[in-house]
Amino acid sequence: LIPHSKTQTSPRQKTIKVWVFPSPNIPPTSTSAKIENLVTSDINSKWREPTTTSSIIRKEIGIDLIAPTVNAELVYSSCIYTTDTRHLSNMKVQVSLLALLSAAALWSVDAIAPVREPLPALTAATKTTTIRGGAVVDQAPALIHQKKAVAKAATKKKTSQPPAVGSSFNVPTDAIVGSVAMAMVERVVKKVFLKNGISFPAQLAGCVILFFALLVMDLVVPGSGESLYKALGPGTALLTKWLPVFFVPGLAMLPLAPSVGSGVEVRVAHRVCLLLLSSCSLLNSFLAKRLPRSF
Amino acid sequence: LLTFELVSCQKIAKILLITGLGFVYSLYTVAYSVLFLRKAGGQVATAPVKKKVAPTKKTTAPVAPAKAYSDDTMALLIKTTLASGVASVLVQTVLNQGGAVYATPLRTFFFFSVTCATYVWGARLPAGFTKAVHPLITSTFLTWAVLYWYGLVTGMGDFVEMVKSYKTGNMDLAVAGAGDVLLFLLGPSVVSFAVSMYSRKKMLKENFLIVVASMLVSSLGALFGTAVFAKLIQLGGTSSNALMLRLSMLARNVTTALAIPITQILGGDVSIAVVVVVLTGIIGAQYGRPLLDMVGITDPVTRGLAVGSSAQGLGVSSMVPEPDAFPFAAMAMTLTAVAGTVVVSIPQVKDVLVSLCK
Repeated sequence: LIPHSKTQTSPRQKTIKVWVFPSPNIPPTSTSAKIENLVTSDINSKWREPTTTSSIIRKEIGIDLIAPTVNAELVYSSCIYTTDTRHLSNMKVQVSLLALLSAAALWSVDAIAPVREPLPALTAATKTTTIRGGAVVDQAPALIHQKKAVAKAATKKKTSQPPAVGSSFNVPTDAIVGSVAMAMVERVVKKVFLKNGISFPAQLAGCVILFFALLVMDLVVPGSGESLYKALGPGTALLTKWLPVFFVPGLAMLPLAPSVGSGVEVRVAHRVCLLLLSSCSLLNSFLAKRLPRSF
Repeated sequence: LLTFELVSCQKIAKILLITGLGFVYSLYTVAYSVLFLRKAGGQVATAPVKKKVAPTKKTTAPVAPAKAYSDDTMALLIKTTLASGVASVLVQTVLNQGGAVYATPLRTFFFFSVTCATYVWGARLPAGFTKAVHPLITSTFLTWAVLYWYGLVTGMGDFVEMVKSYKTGNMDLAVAGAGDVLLFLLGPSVVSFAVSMYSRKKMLKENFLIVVASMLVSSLGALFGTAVFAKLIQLGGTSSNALMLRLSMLARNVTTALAIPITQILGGDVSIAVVVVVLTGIIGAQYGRPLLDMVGITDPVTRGLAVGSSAQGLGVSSMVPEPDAFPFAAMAMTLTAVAGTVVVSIPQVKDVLVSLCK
């Protein structure tokens, strides 16, 4: 059993690839169950419990067969998970931070001017287009115009339905069709890029391609780009409204980032970030209280 | 250990310093070069006069927006979250159907609702709070809390395992987590920037040269400026991985999708680069617009280009309330990323950047 390569996939999980060679103990005809047993017992015999943190480290072994026989050589990949429960104390820090943030929120409530009502011209639109993106806040006349068109289209469809329950439960068909169309653009670009071995992100390419497609369409058949633009309007409004939410996973995955360095650095980084964040929010809520409308 | 912690602390503080100052630097260099060019072209000739008369009126208007999400949306999301949450936990615990075909999609749907609901809740908090804490951060913390709680209640695993199940990197319905679905939706959203750009095609055409100039200022400025600054403050000190660390900072204002290849070409560490990019985005979304308000820049073209090129996708999403600036932000984000990738692909430029960091 030879520990061949180590890859650290996260701060708390180590994957060790092992090559299993035929030997009197492990004849090439051994069943995979037998080999698994042997590998497991070998890892167990070599496993050293960390002396200082033995109480908080758990070990699990998972063995995946990579290739059954490669020239009578059995290749297995084994996994040792060391589950470090130290993050539980991080969790406590996070919870206390959350409490701190809520306190800051409550504290700053009375300092804040009442939330502005949407412009009268917009209220009609926002009510009928809750999901389709009508509630995206803007005061520019151009988009209000566009929104009115959306709202008109929406009211046309909804006249037969009870408006009281309807507003948030109606399926925004035009918006969904537009979104699906744009998802298709991305898919197609991605497939084409994959086929040609281009490693450029399909989203950005799709954006540029669609933009130029709209312009070229107008050149070839005047007005066609404009009508496609109008057709994609509700979908764009829907996606734009929810755009910031799509960035949450990127942020939520940060605990899995394999750190700047050692485990100590991760913890220090956590502390520094939390400290900065909480002091920032306290300072800001203080400023909001003192200088209600200056910033 | 204490000195070691001190060294790490210093390193992290320096990374944060580069991220924060770098953002401010990119924002203002782009903003002022664009403003200079637009004034030279006579496009904002009236701006200096206007500035004195109505800066407060103009700046307060876009800063105090009405609630972005309606009561209906909030109510719907809360109902969906509660219903799917109860159903999912019941399936996992009481019914003991954790292995059933529908268990994972149900969990995914639950966390999808949780993420949306917590974001909407965070965005609807009092303006003073959202100014201090971006709804993204609120949503992330609450999603983490729910993930942790879910793992405890159902015995599915600890926090780290739950986060892993949140984004598996697999779009297969039987495996995909809520994070995968949300990241998938980012694709069409970026494509839809084209529609916003088309809606302001006249403005884009009139400002084409300025857009190109801002692209050069932001991409070259960020790459070389960050390299020089990282060297100046001795990021990483004399340790063996100092160069790698410094090179990982250079793509800080490029959208994640292209920051990864840029960092790989330069020889930096991708995971550090991604963290720095996300941090820059949050700083940009939170402080980009207020920083521009502070110096009285009201020109939408300038605002869009500055925020889009200094804070990539998250910056663009913070420009949603300014429909005239939004298309420019989207364009600036795309062009900065493309220019950065192209520039770094030139071996000579890459060598210069590496030697600047050394």
